[in-house]
Amino acid sequence: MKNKSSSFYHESFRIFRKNKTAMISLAILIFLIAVALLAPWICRYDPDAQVLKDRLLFPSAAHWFGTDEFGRDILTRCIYGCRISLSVGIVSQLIATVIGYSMGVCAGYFGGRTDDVISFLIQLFSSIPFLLFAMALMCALGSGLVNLYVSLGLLTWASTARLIRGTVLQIKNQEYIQACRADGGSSLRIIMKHLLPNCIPMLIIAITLGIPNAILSEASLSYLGLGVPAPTASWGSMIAGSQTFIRTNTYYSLFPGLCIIITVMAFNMLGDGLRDALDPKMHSNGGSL
Amino acid sequence: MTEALLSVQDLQVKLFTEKGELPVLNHVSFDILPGEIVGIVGESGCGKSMLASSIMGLIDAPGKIIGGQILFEGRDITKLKRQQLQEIRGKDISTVFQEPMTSLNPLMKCGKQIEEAITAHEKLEKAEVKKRALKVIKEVGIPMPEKIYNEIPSHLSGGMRQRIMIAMALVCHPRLLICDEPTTALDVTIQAQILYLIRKLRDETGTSVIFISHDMGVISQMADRVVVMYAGEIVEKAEEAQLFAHPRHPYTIGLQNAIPQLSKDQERLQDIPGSVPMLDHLPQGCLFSPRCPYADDHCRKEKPQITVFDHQEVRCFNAGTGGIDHE
Amino acid sequence: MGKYILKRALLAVGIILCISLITFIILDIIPGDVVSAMLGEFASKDAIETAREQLGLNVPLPMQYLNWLGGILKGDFGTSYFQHKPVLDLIANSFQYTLIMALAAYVVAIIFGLLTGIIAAVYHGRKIDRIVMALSVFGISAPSFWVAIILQIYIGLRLGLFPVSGVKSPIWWVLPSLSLGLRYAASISRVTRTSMLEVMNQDYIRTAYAKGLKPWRIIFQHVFRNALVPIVTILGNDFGSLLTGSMITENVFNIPGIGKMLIDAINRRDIPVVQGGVIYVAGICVLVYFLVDLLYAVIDPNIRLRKAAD
Repeated sequence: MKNKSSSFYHESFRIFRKNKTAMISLAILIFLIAVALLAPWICRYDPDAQVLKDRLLFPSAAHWFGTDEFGRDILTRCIYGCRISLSVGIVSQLIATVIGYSMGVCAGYFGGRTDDVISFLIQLFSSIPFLLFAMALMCALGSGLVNLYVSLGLLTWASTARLIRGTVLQIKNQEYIQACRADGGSSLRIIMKHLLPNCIPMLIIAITLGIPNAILSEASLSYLGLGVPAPTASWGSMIAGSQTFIRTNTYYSLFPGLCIIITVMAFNMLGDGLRDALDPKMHSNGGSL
Repeated sequence: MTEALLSVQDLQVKLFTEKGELPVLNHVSFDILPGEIVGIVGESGCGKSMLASSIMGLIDAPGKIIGGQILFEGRDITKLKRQQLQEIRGKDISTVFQEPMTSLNPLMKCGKQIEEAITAHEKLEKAEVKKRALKVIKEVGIPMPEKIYNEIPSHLSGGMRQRIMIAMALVCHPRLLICDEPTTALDVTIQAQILYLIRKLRDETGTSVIFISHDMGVISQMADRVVVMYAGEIVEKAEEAQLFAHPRHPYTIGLQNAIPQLSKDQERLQDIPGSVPMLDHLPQGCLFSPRCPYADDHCRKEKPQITVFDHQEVRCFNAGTGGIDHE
Repeated sequence: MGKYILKRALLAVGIILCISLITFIILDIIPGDVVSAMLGEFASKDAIETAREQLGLNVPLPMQYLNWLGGILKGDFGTSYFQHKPVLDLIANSFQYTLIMALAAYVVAIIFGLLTGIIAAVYHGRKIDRIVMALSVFGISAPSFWVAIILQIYIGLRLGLFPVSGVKSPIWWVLPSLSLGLRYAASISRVTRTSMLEVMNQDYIRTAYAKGLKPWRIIFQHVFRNALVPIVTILGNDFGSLLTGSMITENVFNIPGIGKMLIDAINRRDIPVVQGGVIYVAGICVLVYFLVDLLYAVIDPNIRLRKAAD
């Protein structure tokens, strides 16, 4: 297996482009990211400012999604919640992937004792009841965005590590890697220059499919009051706040929920599409690199 | 004249892809008589496997039979419904596939896989079914049938697995056996054994065999009659002895010359220059013309039809003119 | 083979121990003094000291851990700080509710998940496949608390058929199980579909058709049977996860199961309960992985061989 050539990604892109669902998901996500980045400029209202005379208004021209019990515009808070969710999803998964890749590569490449220890850690972290520990960690560290990044990143690296380890074990014994070693290539160089490119498709898919879980986790934690601190807008905490008004102001629970669903679905479908596109078996040129 | 067991008449199969309609089989016609072995030879991509699939009724999207008929004992099987095809497959017409490693269910015991073939078509007592399965395992030359009966395929060697496949194919006494490159994935020594087995079974049971291969050497050992295919068309058809003594189509000549022979003083292996055309870039005129050493302008512009020379059918403008030197 | 089982068992114990140790450390970092919280603002210093002494909190942390571990080995999981009952009793009481929900949800999940996954695979590419795929992506994307709330509003409150809170009514488990079950059904459906499609592309399925077998026999005896390994994996994991109680769903529907017990304990810093709960949860997870592992060897003899060779 040589390093992935540009024709491999070319072919992947071609397959991806034909997948309507994946393309739509990509469009939705680009839209959401744009909205999240441009939030301060496109929002009419301040997400945290309480306007008590406008409490619990139904959706109208002035407030497309209505207002909450403090008179805050729900649409604005949804947009700011999007910033939170996207950042938690992306950053925590970047952390998890970096840890996962490093651990997986070391376990697979160096083998022996290193592999034993890392494999045990992978097993350990896979067995940890995720939500429980996320809660415990957030309790211990306190609410906050950075704590969320770290907690979620620390708890989800194991599956990536396992995948990478498997891949590295497979290609470690390919002849050209042996040749590099015989040539006196340093381990770090081999890892970065030769192993990494072969792992990239897998890493892309791992991140893309890890993000929706991270977003759902953040929503659950915020729902329980353990995510981002009030009054910061988060979809989860908004839904928690809406529970008291369920019967009368159902829209209050509906909109943040729909935001979560759309974002998570988009990432999931994007991930599925990427997985199909990057699968060498689906390539018409026989998957040759 | 004996009635043909299978008569393929003007068969046309196309692949409907995003690149357009690709002709996989083009006006293919040939007959098989009861008890004979017909060898179908050609390079990869010539449509041999598609032919086998068509006869079995296993062509699925994006492929489709768009013309011609396949008469099996007088019945056109291209027009049969799924239910009727199911009854024929495995019972009247069976197939042995190329890859014994992957063509058997890795988790199911061999005995059970053979029994399935029986119970799909006949209502018998369980004990009777087992008896027949063991019998056919023995007939394909496997020692210790009882033991193999209880094994799963991953415990068996390639040669053994192929014998199991043959057993599975023959257990209902089909009148026609299609062997699609059955020995290509096997070692040369095992290959010889399997070929011998197929011939022996034909001799004992009178089953007709379609033997598909890209290897002229194997074809010459097995076939009574030979059909040579190129890019979805039949280019030559003749009795085996005649074909090998007097090949008329340049492609056949090329294939023959490519067989390494100990008797000749060869410095290099001869091959046919060029490669099989892609289905979406078929040449105008004769499909073989780009690679043919005898091709002239006429060949490149017009498509040759089949002409008959002394019971030998060839699709070539220059075949009978004596202008082709083979040897 | 026996050696393999022993090795896995030891590994399992090791993992549980590590998890309990990590929990201990994390809980220690949690800010706020538990004892002061328990006794209230106006407790005297002496009272606090006595309480700390009684709870064994005056010794260094490693000692506390070892004491606790010693207790566990004797079957004593400690006593709740807030409810003054043995942790083991609390777990046992909560377990019954979680168990009922788990069983009901599991049945829903398996029936919907397997059926839709099989149908989607068999009718691959057609409309029903697209519908199933869309529904299952939706199912895994919707946050569990939101689904629970929606079910509460539209089926519980508006239709008034099922209770939305607590365990007083005999059909208290309907909505929570539905909420949980549908979510698990979605992921089971996806895995089933993918796994079956992969098997369907194999050569031996072509052989099965060539033998003239009936299509449904091929689907079940060949495709489904050979697709089992990934399906069993997720079925096992899901069962483990259901048994450990869904914290969110129990919270929304106010069910006094293991999940709610844990949430309340964490919020209240009721450390012995958290510790005991974590052991229970980790234990179940590890046990389930272990059993699933053994199940693989039964389903696929090839795996059995590979493991024996390791």
